[in-house]
Amino acid sequence: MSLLTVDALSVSFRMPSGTVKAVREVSFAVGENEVVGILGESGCGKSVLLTALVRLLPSNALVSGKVFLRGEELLTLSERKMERLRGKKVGFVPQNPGTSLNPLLRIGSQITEAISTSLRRSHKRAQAMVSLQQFGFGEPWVIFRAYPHMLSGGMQQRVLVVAGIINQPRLVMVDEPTKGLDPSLRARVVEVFQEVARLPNTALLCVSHDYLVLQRLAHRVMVMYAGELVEIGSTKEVFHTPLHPYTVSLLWALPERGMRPIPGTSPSLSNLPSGCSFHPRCFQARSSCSVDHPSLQRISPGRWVRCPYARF
Amino acid sequence: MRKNGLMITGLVLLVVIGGASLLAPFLSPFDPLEVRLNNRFAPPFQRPHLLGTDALGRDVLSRLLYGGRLSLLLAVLSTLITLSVGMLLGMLAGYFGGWVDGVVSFVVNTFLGIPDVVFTLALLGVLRPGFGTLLLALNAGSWVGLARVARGEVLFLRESGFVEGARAMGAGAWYCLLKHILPNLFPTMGVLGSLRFGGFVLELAALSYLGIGVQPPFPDWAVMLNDARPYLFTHPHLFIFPALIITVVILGANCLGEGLRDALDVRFQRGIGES
Amino acid sequence: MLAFERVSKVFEKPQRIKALEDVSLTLRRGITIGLVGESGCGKSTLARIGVGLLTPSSGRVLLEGRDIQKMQPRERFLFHRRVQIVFQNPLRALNPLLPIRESLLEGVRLHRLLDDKGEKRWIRELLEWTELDPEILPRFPHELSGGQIQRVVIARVLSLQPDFLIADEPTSALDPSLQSSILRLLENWQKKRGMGLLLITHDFAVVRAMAQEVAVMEKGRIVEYGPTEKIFAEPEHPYTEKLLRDSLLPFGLMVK
Repeated sequence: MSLLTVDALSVSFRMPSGTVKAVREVSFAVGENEVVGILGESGCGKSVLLTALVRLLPSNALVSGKVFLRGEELLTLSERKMERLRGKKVGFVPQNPGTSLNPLLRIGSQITEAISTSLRRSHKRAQAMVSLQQFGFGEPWVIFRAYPHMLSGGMQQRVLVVAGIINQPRLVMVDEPTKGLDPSLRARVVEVFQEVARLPNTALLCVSHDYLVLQRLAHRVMVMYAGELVEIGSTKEVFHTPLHPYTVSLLWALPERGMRPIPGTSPSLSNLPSGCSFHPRCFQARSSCSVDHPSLQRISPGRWVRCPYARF
Repeated sequence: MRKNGLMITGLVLLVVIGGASLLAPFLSPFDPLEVRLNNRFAPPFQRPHLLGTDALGRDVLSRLLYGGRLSLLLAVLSTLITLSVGMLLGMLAGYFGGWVDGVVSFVVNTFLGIPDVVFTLALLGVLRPGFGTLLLALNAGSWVGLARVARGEVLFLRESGFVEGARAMGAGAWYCLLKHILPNLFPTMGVLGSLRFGGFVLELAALSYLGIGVQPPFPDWAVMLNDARPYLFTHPHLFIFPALIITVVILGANCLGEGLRDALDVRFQRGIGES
Repeated sequence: MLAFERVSKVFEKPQRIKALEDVSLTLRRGITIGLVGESGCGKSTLARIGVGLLTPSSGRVLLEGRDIQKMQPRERFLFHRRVQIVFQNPLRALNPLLPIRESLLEGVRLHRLLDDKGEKRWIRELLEWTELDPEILPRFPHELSGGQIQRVVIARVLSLQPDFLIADEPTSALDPSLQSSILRLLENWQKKRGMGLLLITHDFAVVRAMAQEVAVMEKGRIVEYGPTEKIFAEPEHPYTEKLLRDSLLPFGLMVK
């Protein structure tokens, strides 16, 4: 049985401007020790997906579908039971360090607060220091006593990561762990997550628009566009032989692969294109693409594409 | 534009009362100063004196209509003066820094050390009562708080991308101040100004109630309050009506201020954010 | 050419920080120089000094051989037209109270370059070049996405047709597809107008795709400088090697 199974999860928001369909019928599974990456850009719904899994969505969100953690259905769980899971069995490292850290508390107390076991305070402090050091803080005692505003954005991000994994949860969900970090810090963060992934019985679900990070960390990658999964496969498969036109275009856009921009812009989630969501920007779109909304097709075990004309 | 109930409520209240005060000569059924000793203490809600008469037979409604003219005028003028002085000094201190900031900050900190009330009372005690004196007394210390807030905002705005961008295009200090910084100060200052206006009305009412503000026989609301004191339990309407009006004015100012603050919060927020 | 001649910058408040030490760099028209280094190494300080927003503690900035600090007001004003800067998508890159149209025309109006008809024509051209929809013209910054804002910021700056552009991490906060379109924009513009570009970034892949020469900066000093290919093939300074390694780029996977 997989650690995490997501079955046809959909999330929409009712806004004055219209209904925003952030996540559309997403299904996937994460195994016990797996690292699964979700590759997507801003506006594709990836952050909403993660937030939905830990049930931290705002009140105007409409959620449907099922989510199973080791067989236990999460979406219908009582809030109290959900709270027990968060931070302990399921770790979550959110994207916006500025709004996730309490500006009035020192970093140290925010990290030790996250530690769930009933250890002595000095032990918790030691644990926090070790973790801080692991994540590239040369002088963890300084950070421990500092307030969030004293730290740069990148440092705040790393602190959030520390807080999210300090209990060594079974499933760690990470949202853009390297956003805004320069390469050296990024390499550091990737190294630590590699270590986290190597821990026994720890699975990682990592959302990022940075393919280099996912390439190093993930066993499997899922590409997300306009609220849907458009391609699934092993890391090697997706990055070496991408099938979906969006994946192909995204890789072509990278500076090291030609820096070819994708024409057009990401669609607004409240006003999606008809038929295939990517067709207005697709280099091989045909007339039927604006009419038929393609479904996810299985090419081979573990390999799926949402495009009838994907080359293979 | 989102419907902002708070702001609209505040605006409506202030406009109605302000308008009524302005049009008092046309709306007032009686002369507010006319004494009619044969018609003292007429009860309210009866014709012809809809809100009754006071101890000297003067029509309460007429006095209420005229009552706000002086205090509202003083409050409006004070708000404008305080805003202007505060914003100007705050802008100069915040943008230029250096000795300008040093001087302004010194003055601000000095004034902050003097308790408002003491200062106002001292001024009023020393100078002859009058319009000008009141104006001076209200404003002498009140610009200080605004200047401090303005200075802080300017410091923040000065580092904004668009101000730096303008400077990088060769824009001079005054261009940046007038075109970019000043307009962006208005929202915050507008909020503070509305709240200050309410504060001025209250301050003035207190002074007039104590007899050192607006002087009788001018039918100022607070003066009416003072006059009604001996008859608080026998003829409560003489006290209630002016008290109510003062409260409503301050309420309106606060609603406007809060409503503005809410409206501006939304405007400067982004949409859902990155997803 | 735009030259930094032994520029140093020391900040006194709130603490004494030596941001730049003895930096020399020459920017020529039509060439892109990549400036790489980690966060906090002084790149942004150098950028600001280059456009005259900050004055160096020692050393000079020269435009065609003239020290910008010694320029007369009129000459200095012209300098600001010829040398421009794009920041790293700061929070308030555009005046929130001005519609986009006004923000775009600010530079042109400040330097009185066009009349009404000229403005209309220029706006249309500018929008085409930066792939922006004309429907954003009457809108306000808070209605635009991050990518659109960055494009507007660049369009605003390019409207002055500068000879030299310093781009300080213009795409670091953006998605890969947006990054590529904005970088291409800068590249095309450079080719079209022969602009000199100082591209400040911490992304080596971007440098390799865009720059002919690379300067590597560590803690305020330039530790290595040379043609891009050479730096990649045979980095000399250990710091350069470290940066290359950290960039996680798979070796041999580079297509021009």
